Amino acid sequence: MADANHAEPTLDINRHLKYWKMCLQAPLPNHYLSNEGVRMTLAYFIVNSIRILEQEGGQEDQAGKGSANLGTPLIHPKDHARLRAWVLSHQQPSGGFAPSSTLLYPPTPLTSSGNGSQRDQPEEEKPTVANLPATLFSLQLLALLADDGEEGERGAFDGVDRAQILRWMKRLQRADGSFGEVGREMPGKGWFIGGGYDMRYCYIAASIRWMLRGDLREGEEGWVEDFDTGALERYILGSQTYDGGFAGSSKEEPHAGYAYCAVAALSLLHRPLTNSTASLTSNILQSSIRDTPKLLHWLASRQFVYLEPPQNDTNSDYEDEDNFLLPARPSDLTSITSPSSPIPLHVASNGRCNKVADTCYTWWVAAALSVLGHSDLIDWPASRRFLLDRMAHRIGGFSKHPGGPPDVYHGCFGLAALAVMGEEGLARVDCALALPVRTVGVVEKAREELVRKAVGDGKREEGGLKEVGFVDTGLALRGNGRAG
Amino acid sequence: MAAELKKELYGGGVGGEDGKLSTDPEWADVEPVVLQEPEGALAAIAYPDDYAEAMAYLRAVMQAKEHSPRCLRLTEHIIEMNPAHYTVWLYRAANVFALNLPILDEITWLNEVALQNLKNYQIWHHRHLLVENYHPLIASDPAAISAFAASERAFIAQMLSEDTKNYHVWSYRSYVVSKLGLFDDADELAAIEGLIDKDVRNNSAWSHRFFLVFSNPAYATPGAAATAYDAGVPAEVVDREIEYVTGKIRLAPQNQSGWNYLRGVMVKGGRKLASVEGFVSEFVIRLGEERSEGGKEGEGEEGEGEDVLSTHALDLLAEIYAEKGEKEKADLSLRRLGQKWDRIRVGYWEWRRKCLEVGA
Repeated sequence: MADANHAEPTLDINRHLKYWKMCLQAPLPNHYLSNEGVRMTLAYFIVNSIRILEQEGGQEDQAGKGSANLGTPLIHPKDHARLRAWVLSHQQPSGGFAPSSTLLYPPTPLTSSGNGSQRDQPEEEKPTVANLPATLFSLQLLALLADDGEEGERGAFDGVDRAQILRWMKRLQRADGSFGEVGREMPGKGWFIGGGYDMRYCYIAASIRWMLRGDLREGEEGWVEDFDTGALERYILGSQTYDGGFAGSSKEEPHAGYAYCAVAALSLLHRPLTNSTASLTSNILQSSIRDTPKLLHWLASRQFVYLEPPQNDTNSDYEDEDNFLLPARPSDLTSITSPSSPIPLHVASNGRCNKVADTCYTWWVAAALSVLGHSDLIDWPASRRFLLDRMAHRIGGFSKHPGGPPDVYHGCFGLAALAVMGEEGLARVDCALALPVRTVGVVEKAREELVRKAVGDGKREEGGLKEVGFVDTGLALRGNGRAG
Repeated sequence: MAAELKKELYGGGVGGEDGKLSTDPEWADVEPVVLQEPEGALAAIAYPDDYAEAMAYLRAVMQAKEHSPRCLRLTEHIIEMNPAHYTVWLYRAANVFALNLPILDEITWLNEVALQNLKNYQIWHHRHLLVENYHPLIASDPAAISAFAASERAFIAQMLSEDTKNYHVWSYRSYVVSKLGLFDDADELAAIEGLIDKDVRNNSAWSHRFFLVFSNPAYATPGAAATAYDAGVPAEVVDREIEYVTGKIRLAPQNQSGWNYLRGVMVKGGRKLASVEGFVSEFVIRLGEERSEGGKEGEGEEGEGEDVLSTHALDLLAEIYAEKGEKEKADLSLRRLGQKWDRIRVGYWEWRRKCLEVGA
């Protein structure tokens, strides 16, 4: 719906790279302190954004397109191993990854008097600080930071304790099928699964499972008991609300982030293990969701015509109410949306009915519709214009609200939204995994290698020292015993 | 509630005269576990020294599995600096349980923290956990349940007065309703009606009302889907809700919350959509009478031709026509939405037209 009256905005890749270079190289400013407990998440936003912008190491040259990836990549290949080691240092002996370095116990005594007594404690008795989101983001980072070439890609998950993560994750599933984000022994209360009823953890569990599990069958070496995929699927499907969206449960208000998590989780539970980006599972999805037409209606309804707020209070911070101006009558909008309008149309998305515009909802809505095979329901030219004209900041990155400062969360999802809708100059992004398509290929290889080793290690433990070849594993992987 | 909270547990702070833990005699026996950022760390945050020091002591006591009043105060100290650190909240909960502290005291303390940190959701996880452990103590005492329900409702009202659509508060509210069995509590429904009267576009309030009315265990079928007919819901409840919502739609016809609610009620009650055709038609005038040669396109004036007071009404009308088998009128409605009244969703309306062909 581009029209001749005004030129379409362009994505300034160099400017965004400059923003991410700053986030990569200098400590994040103090106002990120509230995210200190989820530092691994921030790390994922930074590295993922750089990979989307650099098209994965600049392998697809973009000469003449103004891309900065012709020079030295922001993350030098020689730094990959060091960064992967940092990520791996967050892995917990009882499974999973810690969300923040400030929770880690030093591997060796660091204090001057360091008596080392802490090291005498058996590993399994230490309180675990792993959580589910940090585990997903760590695995994604390891894949994003894989060395180039077949060997590097296959080795991306070297050091990941696949079996322990899968066992730990199973313990985070509740009786109703949902997942919490952490598990703890509470004094006098026993095992406690914390983190609220939140569709994000359901998505994350499905994602980790797809990234690590493989389809070994019971009795095979390396096999780990699966979590209850049927219960998870029932929980997700049961969280559809009366108006068609998804919430943390059907008792609550639907939310675009949760709707994305619901449909992406369902797609991951049915996703093939290899060549997975080639075959989206939208048909399976559409048949299992209780009311797909209503879901599409709800998702399409998240888009609204963005109207500029009045100019009189430019000094005040944007309050939530300020950037959602609801016209009283539909006829108030028909001239603005007319193809002959002299003013470029901007379409924003909100996360809930009658809420305000936010960069990330353009991603959650576009990605959810893409998972469902329905990106055709998005007014992409006008949504793209909104992102680039109103949300892109002059120092690079994207803000939460129009006129606000950029941050790594909105910066990443602004790019991901553009990429998933095919923005020229950016890497292709997988809508269900929120990773560049090439990185998804790395995950597939890295998982295959982990599974191959698991089978091999198992055989050795039995004392047989049998060489279990690639062919055996390959056969196992091609079996049709995949759950879900 | 509780009068004065013990300083030993709440508000007493940590640190010596200079505010540092390292000079506080109470902490002299603890060797802080200092973090050294390795080379190659990602997403380091420039946090203040007192935060770094507190975290070093936290690591030490967490690792030693110490649960004590000073640990409780240490978590308060860190939460003041960073209320979003869930691991710290979990450790705090472990202290509350290990020390067997009165849960209502902790809730009283938490109210103040919540009011200072409106957007924080870890606070709500903590509250949820406290209520899960408090409820068994009062479950057999209706007066205690009722008193607790009233104090929670008052707190929720205070939170919503700061932000009427706060997702965490509304999630917590639906949890409290289920946990304490407040479906038939007249005050709960009245509170929601008050919020809708204040802002008819408050979709959070509409969602809560739907839950309150259609998940009431007095008649709702256990486990019934929110998107499906429930034979258990009495007809008079369905009638009451239709009357309520149609009245609210008249106040703001372009407010989608009301229309979504109306559709949800019709489905729950197993009603034909056509039974509200008269009402819906009030908002769509002379459909299709405006011709392309009219020249009014884009001027936003009603003129004598077609006028649509609510795109959501026209959307529902399309469904009503489809339900009645009037495919051409349904198709016309969808076409007009995509061509004029709701152009940004033309892709959606075209998809609906295709469904019409397949479905009819």
